[in-house]
Amino acid sequence: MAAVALGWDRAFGYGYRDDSAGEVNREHARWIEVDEKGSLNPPWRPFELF
Amino acid sequence: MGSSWKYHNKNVPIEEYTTAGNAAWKRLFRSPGDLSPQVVYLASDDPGAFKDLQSQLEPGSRIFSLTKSRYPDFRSIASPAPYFQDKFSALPKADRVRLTMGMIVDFAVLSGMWARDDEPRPGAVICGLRYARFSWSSCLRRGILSHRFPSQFQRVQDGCCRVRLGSGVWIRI
Repeated sequence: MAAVALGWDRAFGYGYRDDSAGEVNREHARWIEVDEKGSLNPPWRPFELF
Repeated sequence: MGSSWKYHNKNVPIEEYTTAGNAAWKRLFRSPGDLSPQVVYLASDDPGAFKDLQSQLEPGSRIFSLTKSRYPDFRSIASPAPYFQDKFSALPKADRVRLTMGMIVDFAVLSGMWARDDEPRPGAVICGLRYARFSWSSCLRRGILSHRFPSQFQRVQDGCCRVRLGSGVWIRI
């Protein structure tokens, strides 16, 4: 949810290179996840329904 | 609780958060010669996390949290102990309402979700997958908790509170 508030570009560091592949740009990302540390794909999931 | 194999059924240790936070602060907010203190908002169910965090950040860092707020209104909605669903469910309704309000306020400040353009918002968020723990902010220097209660939150009767999700849309919490 915090990634939503940051906005996609700020959260995932977009806007500094060709981001069409959708990879997180770790140099500029502001959403920093310390459990899986980006090992999951995708690293961020929009919703978890249960 | 963690999601990864490494932290399955365990809490992600605070060292993971501080290491990532210190690195993010250097990467995003530090320019050469700039020694301004780190400003951090801590959102945690565990009041003990404040001391742990303090001991692992640069000396002089400014840490804000509901538990350590100078305002009784904020302290009263802070989580008094680590969260366990069964214990929480056994609490009287008034306590559950109050502590839920604390969780939502924590999330609001941590994320900046309801911040207006002129209000401080976090510069980065350090979190686990299951829940977010704290945010690092370069914009929080004005001291977010010394400001008013965000206008997106309104107190209504019976000690309840409502929060604005969008223009004209409110949920009661």
